[in-house]
Amino acid sequence: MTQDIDQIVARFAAPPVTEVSEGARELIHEITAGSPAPAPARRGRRLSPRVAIPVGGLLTAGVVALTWLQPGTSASALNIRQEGGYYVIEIKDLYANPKMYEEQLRRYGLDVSLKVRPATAAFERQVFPTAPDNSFVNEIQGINPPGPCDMVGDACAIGMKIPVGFKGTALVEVSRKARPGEKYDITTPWSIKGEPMHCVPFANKTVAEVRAMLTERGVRISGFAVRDPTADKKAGGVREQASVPDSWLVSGGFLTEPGVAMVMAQPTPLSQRVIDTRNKAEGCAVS
Amino acid sequence: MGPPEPEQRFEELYLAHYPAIATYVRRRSGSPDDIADVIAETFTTAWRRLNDVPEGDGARLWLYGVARRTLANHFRGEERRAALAVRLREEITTWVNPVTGAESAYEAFKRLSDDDRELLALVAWEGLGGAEIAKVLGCSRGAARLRLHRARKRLAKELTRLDPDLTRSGQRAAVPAKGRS
Repeated sequence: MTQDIDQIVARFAAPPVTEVSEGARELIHEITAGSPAPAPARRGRRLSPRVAIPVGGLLTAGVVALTWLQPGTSASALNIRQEGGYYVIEIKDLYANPKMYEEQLRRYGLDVSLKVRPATAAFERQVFPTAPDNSFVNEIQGINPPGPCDMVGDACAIGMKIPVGFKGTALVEVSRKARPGEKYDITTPWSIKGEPMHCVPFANKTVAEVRAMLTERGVRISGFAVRDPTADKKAGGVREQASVPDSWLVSGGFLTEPGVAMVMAQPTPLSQRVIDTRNKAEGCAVS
Repeated sequence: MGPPEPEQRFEELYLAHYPAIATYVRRRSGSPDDIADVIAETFTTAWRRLNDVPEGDGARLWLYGVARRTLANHFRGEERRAALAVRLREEITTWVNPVTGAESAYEAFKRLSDDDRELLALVAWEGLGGAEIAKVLGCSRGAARLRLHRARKRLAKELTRLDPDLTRSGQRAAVPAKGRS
């Protein structure tokens, strides 16, 4: 019966669309030019470092001023107090063993794990709570200082809050500044707000020119990411190499640790359309 | 390793999966405007959530899931004619639609619930298996298999009800002319 039924249903199918027409190709550019840039991933990505591509949305939240991101010396890793139906949590020791955070949160009946990860400047203060199925947990929120947060990904938090009686399971990833020489767990294109090349016209400049721009900003190049169709798809179709000709053109880059960048370069220029789209999405002047 | 440009990654994703998604949407919506709207909205969601799109074939299933929800919301929502996809819209008006309405079996199919139709279509039109359907629908494999089994039974029943002669045994429901594989 199964096969009969499936074959009957198959007869009702409209013919397949087999090609990407001109109109469909136009839609690609309409979408990327007309919509905000991709939001950070909701799941823990397997790439290392995690690359978070932020959305340009601004959120204003939080009224409680806390001193987050200060290495502490107190015996407990977290400072937890109850206020307005929430546990308001301040991380006193950003370098504590995650088990210490977890034990302390358990004492409040919270099935919440906390991981503090070194992140590039744009994400130094991001609070990112997810459930075991990788969905975003809206109930757990970062606490921002008063005033608007103009960082991408709302990365302004100085604390976080969890509703009293929260029954879910969550992993909260909190980003912190990296120590010198420490690799970032979370990074993002160097052109995003908060990063050293934000609104700097580096696209299609030669490697030699961009090296000078980076040096001015105290950043050295550790290597190059080069597009390679034969490279592992999971690596984004790029491979790393130590050097490229100085005449190659730069399309982008990202910091891998404080003051150290990986540069994306190729022999051919990016189209002006891609550059304009990116500048628009990042809030920079469009030529 | 490092991030590819999001625009480039999106373009690769789009070119790889546009035919499958356009086919999926075409088979489930009536007017060229609806088809264009839903394709545009599905891929706009994919762009915004680019960092959530799984690698490999998981991407196609993820996109089916988005297209399915977009279709449901589209028909619930008000008439919207996005300024997007103007040229695509024109192209779609030239697509020829197959004649299916005349068949009595199609009438039986149309009588099923949306959920049942979708399950049967994912198997017969998109060629998906139980595990893949579970991913598109966001349910467990066991649930997908059970729901599919029930949907098939309900269609067989509808076919029998519609045309008892066609399915006298109640078992061999409306054997298609081209035979079974």
